[in-house]
Amino acid sequence: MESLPPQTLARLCQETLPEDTRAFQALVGQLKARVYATAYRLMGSRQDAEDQAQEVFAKVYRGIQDLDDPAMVTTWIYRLTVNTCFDALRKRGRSPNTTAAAPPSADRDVEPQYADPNAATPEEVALWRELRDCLEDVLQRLDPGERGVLVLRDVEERPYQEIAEMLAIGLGATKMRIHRARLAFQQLFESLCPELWRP
Amino acid sequence: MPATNEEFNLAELADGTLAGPEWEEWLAVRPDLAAEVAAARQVRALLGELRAVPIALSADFEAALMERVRRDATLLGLLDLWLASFGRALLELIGALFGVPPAAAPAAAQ
Repeated sequence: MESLPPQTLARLCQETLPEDTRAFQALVGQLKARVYATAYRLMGSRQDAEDQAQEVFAKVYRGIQDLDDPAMVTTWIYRLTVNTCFDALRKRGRSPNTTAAAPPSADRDVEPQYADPNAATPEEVALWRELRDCLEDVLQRLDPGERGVLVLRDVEERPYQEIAEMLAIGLGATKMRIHRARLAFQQLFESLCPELWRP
Repeated sequence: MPATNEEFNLAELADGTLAGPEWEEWLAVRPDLAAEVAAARQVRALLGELRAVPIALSADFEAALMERVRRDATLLGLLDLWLASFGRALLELIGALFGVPPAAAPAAAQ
Protein backbone atom coordinates (compact mmCIF):
# COMPACT_ATOMS: atom_id res chain seq x y z
CA MET A 1 0.00 0.00 0.00
CA GLU A 2 2.99 2.31 0.67
CA SER A 3 3.75 2.47 -3.05
CA LEU A 4 0.29 3.71 -4.06
CA PRO A 5 0.10 7.36 -5.19
CA PRO A 6 -1.31 9.87 -2.65
CA GLN A 7 -4.54 10.41 -4.59
CA THR A 8 -5.29 6.67 -4.51
CA LEU A 9 -4.53 6.57 -0.79
CA ALA A 10 -6.80 9.58 -0.25
CA ARG A 11 -9.65 7.81 -2.05
CA LEU A 12 -9.01 4.66 0.00
CA CYS A 13 -9.08 6.75 3.20
CA GLN A 14 -12.48 8.10 2.19
CA GLU A 15 -13.74 4.55 1.72
CA THR A 16 -12.17 2.88 4.76
CA LEU A 17 -11.83 5.39 7.61
CA PRO A 18 -12.42 5.23 10.52
CA GLU A 19 -12.65 1.42 10.65
CA ASP A 20 -9.43 0.75 8.73
CA THR A 21 -6.50 3.16 9.13
CA ARG A 22 -3.98 1.43 6.85
CA ALA A 23 -4.45 3.82 3.92
CA PHE A 24 -4.22 6.79 6.27
CA GLN A 25 -1.00 5.46 7.79
CA ALA A 26 0.46 4.92 4.32
CA LEU A 27 -0.47 8.50 3.39
CA VAL A 28 1.21 9.78 6.55
CA GLY A 29 4.27 7.69 5.73
CA GLN A 30 4.55 9.29 2.31
CA LEU A 31 3.99 12.91 3.31
CA LYS A 32 5.26 13.23 6.88
CA ALA A 33 8.81 14.25 5.94
CA ARG A 34 7.62 17.09 3.73
CA VAL A 35 5.03 18.30 6.23
CA TYR A 36 7.59 18.22 9.03
CA ALA A 37 10.27 20.01 7.00
CA THR A 38 7.89 22.84 6.12
CA ALA A 39 6.66 23.07 9.72
CA TYR A 40 10.23 23.12 11.00
CA ARG A 41 11.24 25.97 8.69
CA LEU A 42 8.17 27.98 9.60
CA MET A 43 8.11 27.28 13.35
CA GLY A 44 11.82 27.30 14.04
CA SER A 45 12.06 24.47 16.55
CA ARG A 46 11.88 20.74 16.41
CA GLN A 47 9.22 20.40 19.13
CA ASP A 48 6.94 23.07 17.66
CA ALA A 49 7.33 21.53 14.20
CA GLU A 50 6.43 18.09 15.47
CA ASP A 51 3.40 19.44 17.36
CA GLN A 52 2.15 21.23 14.25
CA ALA A 53 2.82 18.24 11.98
CA GLN A 54 0.74 16.12 14.37
CA GLU A 55 -1.98 18.75 14.27
CA VAL A 56 -1.94 18.74 10.45
CA PHE A 57 -2.37 14.98 10.18
CA ALA A 58 -5.09 15.00 12.85
CA LYS A 59 -6.93 17.54 10.66
CA VAL A 60 -6.35 15.33 7.63
CA TYR A 61 -7.85 12.37 9.49
CA ARG A 62 -10.93 14.40 10.43
CA GLY A 63 -11.34 16.19 7.11
CA ILE A 64 -10.35 13.79 4.35
CA GLN A 65 -13.91 12.49 3.98
CA ASP A 66 -14.93 16.00 2.88
CA LEU A 67 -12.14 16.41 0.33
CA ASP A 68 -13.96 16.76 -3.00
CA ASP A 69 -11.08 15.83 -5.26
CA PRO A 70 -8.64 13.19 -3.98
CA ALA A 71 -6.21 14.23 -6.74
CA MET A 72 -5.69 17.45 -4.77
CA VAL A 73 -4.71 15.70 -1.55
CA THR A 74 -1.03 16.72 -1.63
CA THR A 75 -1.84 20.39 -2.28
CA TRP A 76 -4.55 20.28 0.37
CA ILE A 77 -2.19 18.85 2.99
CA TYR A 78 0.51 21.36 2.08
CA ARG A 79 -1.94 24.23 2.54
CA LEU A 80 -3.14 22.76 5.83
CA THR A 81 0.49 22.67 6.96
CA VAL A 82 1.20 26.30 6.11
CA ASN A 83 -2.10 27.57 7.52
CA THR A 84 -1.77 25.51 10.71
CA CYS A 85 1.73 26.88 11.31
CA PHE A 86 0.65 30.46 10.54
CA ASP A 87 -2.26 30.08 12.99
CA ALA A 88 0.12 28.75 15.66
CA LEU A 89 2.51 31.64 15.09
CA ARG A 90 -0.34 34.14 15.31
CA LYS A 91 -1.56 32.58 18.55
CA ARG A 92 1.94 32.66 19.92
CA GLY A 93 1.98 36.36 19.02
CA ARG A 94 5.72 36.64 18.65
CA SER A 95 8.59 35.33 16.60
CA PRO A 96 10.04 32.02 17.73
CA ASN A 97 12.88 32.68 20.11
CA THR A 98 16.26 32.49 18.54
CA THR A 99 17.67 29.84 20.84
CA ALA A 100 14.90 27.49 19.83
CA ALA A 101 15.76 28.12 16.20
CA ALA A 102 18.94 26.10 16.35
CA PRO A 103 18.56 22.77 14.58
CA PRO A 104 18.41 19.69 16.80
CA SER A 105 21.79 18.36 17.81
CA ALA A 106 21.44 15.24 15.69
CA ASP A 107 20.93 17.38 12.59
CA ARG A 108 23.86 19.67 13.34
CA ASP A 109 26.29 16.88 12.64
CA VAL A 110 24.84 16.12 9.24
CA GLU A 111 27.18 17.12 6.46
CA PRO A 112 26.07 18.51 3.11
CA GLN A 113 25.21 15.96 0.48
CA TYR A 114 27.89 16.36 -2.16
CA ALA A 115 27.71 14.24 -5.31
CA ASP A 116 31.24 13.08 -4.55
CA PRO A 117 31.81 12.72 -0.79
CA ASN A 118 35.54 13.13 -1.31
CA ALA A 119 35.00 16.55 -2.88
CA ALA A 120 34.20 18.26 0.46
CA THR A 121 37.22 19.40 2.43
CA PRO A 122 36.93 19.95 6.20
CA GLU A 123 37.09 23.70 5.52
CA GLU A 124 34.17 23.46 3.10
CA VAL A 125 32.11 21.46 5.57
CA ALA A 126 32.87 23.97 8.35
CA LEU A 127 31.94 26.87 6.08
CA TRP A 128 28.74 25.14 5.04
CA ARG A 129 27.77 24.62 8.68
CA GLU A 130 28.49 28.24 9.50
CA LEU A 131 26.40 29.36 6.55
CA ARG A 132 23.50 27.06 7.45
CA ASP A 133 23.48 28.22 11.08
CA CYS A 134 23.57 31.83 9.98
CA LEU A 135 20.76 31.37 7.45
CA GLU A 136 18.53 29.67 10.02
CA ASP A 137 19.32 32.28 12.63
CA VAL A 138 18.47 35.17 10.32
CA LEU A 139 15.33 33.44 9.09
CA GLN A 140 14.08 32.97 12.64
CA ARG A 141 14.73 36.60 13.53
CA LEU A 142 12.44 37.87 10.78
CA ASP A 143 8.81 38.41 11.60
CA PRO A 144 6.66 35.35 10.91
CA GLY A 145 5.05 36.88 7.81
CA GLU A 146 8.40 37.63 6.19
CA ARG A 147 9.80 34.25 7.15
CA GLY A 148 6.71 32.52 5.78
CA VAL A 149 6.89 34.01 2.30
CA LEU A 150 10.64 33.41 2.05
CA VAL A 151 10.32 29.78 3.11
CA LEU A 152 7.49 29.20 0.66
CA ARG A 153 9.07 30.96 -2.29
CA ASP A 154 12.85 30.70 -1.93
CA VAL A 155 13.29 27.49 0.04
CA GLU A 156 10.33 25.43 -1.13
CA GLU A 157 9.87 27.12 -4.53
CA ARG A 158 6.08 27.34 -4.39
CA PRO A 159 4.38 29.29 -7.20
CA TYR A 160 3.32 32.88 -6.52
CA GLN A 161 -0.32 32.05 -7.12
CA GLU A 162 -0.31 29.29 -4.51
CA ILE A 163 1.37 31.55 -1.95
CA ALA A 164 -1.17 34.28 -2.65
CA GLU A 165 -4.02 31.83 -2.09
CA MET A 166 -2.50 30.57 1.16
CA LEU A 167 -2.09 34.11 2.46
CA ALA A 168 -5.48 35.15 1.08
CA ILE A 169 -3.99 38.24 -0.55
CA GLY A 170 -3.60 39.38 -4.15
CA LEU A 171 -0.86 38.24 -6.48
CA GLY A 172 0.72 41.72 -6.66
CA ALA A 173 0.73 42.08 -2.88
CA THR A 174 2.33 38.65 -2.59
CA LYS A 175 5.18 39.61 -4.93
CA MET A 176 5.66 42.87 -3.09
CA ARG A 177 5.84 41.06 0.28
CA ILE A 178 8.36 38.59 -1.08
CA HIS A 179 10.58 41.35 -2.43
CA ARG A 180 10.43 43.29 0.84
CA ALA A 181 11.10 40.13 2.86
CA ARG A 182 14.20 39.43 0.74
CA LEU A 183 15.50 42.92 1.43
CA ALA A 184 14.76 42.56 5.16
CA PHE A 185 16.63 39.25 5.13
CA GLN A 186 19.58 40.83 3.30
CA GLN A 187 19.91 43.66 5.86
CA LEU A 188 19.80 41.26 8.79
CA PHE A 189 22.17 38.78 7.15
CA GLU A 190 24.66 41.50 6.32
CA SER A 191 24.65 42.75 9.91
CA LEU A 192 24.79 39.32 11.59
CA CYS A 193 27.03 37.43 9.16
CA PRO A 194 28.98 40.08 7.22
CA GLU A 195 31.80 37.67 6.35
CA LEU A 196 29.34 35.42 4.48
CA TRP A 197 27.68 38.17 2.42
CA ARG A 198 29.12 38.66 -1.07
CA PRO A 199 27.92 42.02 -2.42
CA MET B 1 7.52 48.12 -19.93
CA PRO B 2 5.33 48.22 -16.82
CA ALA B 3 6.91 50.92 -14.68
CA THR B 4 3.96 51.34 -12.31
CA ASN B 5 4.26 47.85 -10.81
CA GLU B 6 7.96 48.03 -10.14
CA GLU B 7 7.88 46.18 -6.85
CA PHE B 8 5.93 43.29 -8.35
CA ASN B 9 8.49 43.02 -11.13
CA LEU B 10 11.44 43.11 -8.77
CA ALA B 11 10.39 39.87 -7.06
CA GLU B 12 10.09 38.13 -10.41
CA LEU B 13 13.30 39.61 -11.76
CA ALA B 14 15.13 38.28 -8.72
CA ASP B 15 13.98 34.71 -9.21
CA GLY B 16 14.16 34.70 -12.99
CA THR B 17 10.43 34.48 -13.65
CA LEU B 18 10.98 37.70 -15.58
CA ALA B 19 14.14 37.56 -17.65
CA GLY B 20 15.61 38.64 -20.94
CA PRO B 21 17.61 41.43 -22.50
CA GLU B 22 14.69 43.88 -22.38
CA TRP B 23 14.51 43.46 -18.59
CA GLU B 24 18.27 43.83 -18.22
CA GLU B 25 18.04 47.09 -20.19
CA TRP B 26 15.15 48.15 -17.96
CA LEU B 27 17.31 47.53 -14.89
CA ALA B 28 20.38 49.16 -16.43
CA VAL B 29 18.69 52.55 -16.41
CA ARG B 30 17.47 52.07 -12.83
CA PRO B 31 20.64 51.43 -10.82
CA ASP B 32 18.90 51.64 -7.44
CA LEU B 33 16.41 48.96 -8.45
CA ALA B 34 19.19 46.92 -10.07
CA ALA B 35 21.00 46.89 -6.71
CA GLU B 36 17.83 45.66 -4.97
CA VAL B 37 17.41 42.89 -7.52
CA ALA B 38 21.06 41.84 -7.13
CA ALA B 39 20.63 41.64 -3.34
CA ALA B 40 17.37 39.73 -3.70
CA ARG B 41 19.02 37.28 -6.10
CA GLN B 42 21.74 36.61 -3.57
CA VAL B 43 19.19 36.11 -0.78
CA ARG B 44 17.32 33.64 -2.95
CA ALA B 45 20.53 31.76 -3.75
CA LEU B 46 21.49 31.63 -0.07
CA LEU B 47 18.09 30.40 1.04
CA GLY B 48 18.22 27.74 -1.65
CA GLU B 49 21.12 26.22 0.32
CA LEU B 50 18.62 25.27 3.03
CA ARG B 51 17.00 22.78 0.67
CA ALA B 52 20.05 20.55 1.17
CA VAL B 53 19.66 20.50 4.96
CA PRO B 54 18.20 17.16 6.01
CA ILE B 55 15.45 17.53 8.59
CA ALA B 56 14.80 14.26 10.39
CA LEU B 57 11.55 13.36 12.10
CA SER B 58 11.57 11.54 15.42
CA ALA B 59 11.18 7.79 15.07
CA ASP B 60 7.97 7.64 17.10
CA PHE B 61 6.13 10.32 15.11
CA GLU B 62 3.67 7.91 13.48
CA ALA B 63 3.00 5.96 16.66
CA ALA B 64 2.28 9.19 18.56
CA LEU B 65 0.04 10.41 15.73
CA MET B 66 -2.02 7.21 15.61
CA GLU B 67 -2.40 7.31 19.38
CA ARG B 68 -3.67 10.88 19.13
CA VAL B 69 -6.04 10.02 16.29
CA ARG B 70 -7.48 7.12 18.30
CA ARG B 71 -7.85 9.34 21.36
CA ASP B 72 -9.60 12.06 19.31
CA ALA B 73 -11.92 9.47 17.76
CA THR B 74 -12.81 8.11 21.21
CA LEU B 75 -13.51 11.61 22.52
CA LEU B 76 -15.71 12.38 19.50
CA GLY B 77 -17.56 9.11 20.03
CA LEU B 78 -18.14 9.95 23.69
CA LEU B 79 -19.30 13.44 22.74
CA ASP B 80 -21.78 11.96 20.25
CA LEU B 81 -23.05 9.58 22.91
CA TRP B 82 -23.33 12.37 25.46
CA LEU B 83 -25.21 14.63 23.04
CA ALA B 84 -27.62 11.83 22.14
CA SER B 85 -28.23 11.07 25.83
CA PHE B 86 -28.62 14.77 26.62
CA GLY B 87 -31.11 15.18 23.77
CA ARG B 88 -33.14 12.22 24.93
CA ALA B 89 -33.14 13.48 28.53
CA LEU B 90 -34.23 16.94 27.33
CA LEU B 91 -37.17 15.46 25.43
CA GLU B 92 -38.16 13.44 28.47
CA LEU B 93 -37.99 16.57 30.62
CA ILE B 94 -40.19 18.49 28.16
CA GLY B 95 -42.63 15.59 28.18
CA ALA B 96 -42.68 15.53 31.98
CA LEU B 97 -43.15 19.32 32.27
CA PHE B 98 -45.98 19.54 29.76
CA GLY B 99 -47.58 16.26 30.63
CA VAL B 100 -47.52 14.71 27.17
CA PRO B 101 -44.97 14.49 24.39
CA PRO B 102 -45.57 17.09 21.60
CA ALA B 103 -46.47 14.38 19.06
CA ALA B 104 -49.38 13.21 21.20
CA ALA B 105 -50.78 16.69 21.80
CA PRO B 106 -53.50 16.75 19.02
CA ALA B 107 -55.01 13.48 20.23
CA ALA B 108 -54.99 14.63 23.82
CA ALA B 109 -56.74 17.90 22.89
CA GLN B 110 -59.79 16.09 21.57
